Amino acid sequence: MASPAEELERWVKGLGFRGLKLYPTYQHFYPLYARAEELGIPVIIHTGSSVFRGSRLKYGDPLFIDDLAVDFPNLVLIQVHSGRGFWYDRAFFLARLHENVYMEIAGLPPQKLLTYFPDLERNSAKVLFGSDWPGVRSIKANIEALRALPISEEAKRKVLGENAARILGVE
Amino acid sequence: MPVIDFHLRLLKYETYQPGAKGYLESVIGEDMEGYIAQIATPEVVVDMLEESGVDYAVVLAEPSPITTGMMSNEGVAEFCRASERLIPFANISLGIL
Repeated sequence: MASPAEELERWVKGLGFRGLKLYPTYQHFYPLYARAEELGIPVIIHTGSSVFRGSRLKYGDPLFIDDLAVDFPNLVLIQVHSGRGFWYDRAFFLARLHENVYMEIAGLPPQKLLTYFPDLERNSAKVLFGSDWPGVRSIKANIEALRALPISEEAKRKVLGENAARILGVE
Repeated sequence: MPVIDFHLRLLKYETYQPGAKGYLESVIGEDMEGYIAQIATPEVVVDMLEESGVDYAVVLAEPSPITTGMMSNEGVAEFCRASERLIPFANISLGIL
């Protein structure tokens, strides 16, 4: 049987995958990070709460990503849900601290972002829009809510696409 | 400036676990099987992205049969072949390669 690292290489080189998502709240890992770094793909990691039965919340603590950011400095690490629940501050801090760590806002009501992250503007180069669709009724409504926030137009452009375009290599 | 959605999840309807199914039903407020069948093709998703003003979307594999449900890596790869606007992200769960 192929190792997880070999599997990852097959997915990327053979089937065109351009990133990897992990759920540490209900899966368990490590050697994949080194191979993802070699392959030059981002890894997006569930952080924060999950309402689904079987999830284990403690593994959603963004603090674990601090180790990964240090051990794999050339690996782009994306905190899915930005530490949703009681770890918003940690996710924000880690994205500020580490050049290779980002926060993604899927599953968060966009109109509440400044409640969760009062200094969102200062970290706008490290925040990525995500919807969690079909877990939300309308992606368009979420985009409009984000565009209505009292932050700069430059920050909105970064969050809605510029940051992601840089990571994904699209225009 | 592109608009990019980094988080689409497209579980197969028949694999939805009760918690995930209940959550989605609470969001969409209608017959879930019909809704999932309706959005299960890349053409429909790309049209929805276009209508929403989204240029690219990351589509996530999700082999999580106990907690949420299943969307295999193979399924995501096939789904995303339909359009360069759909960007596949793999998922590897060490228990179910």
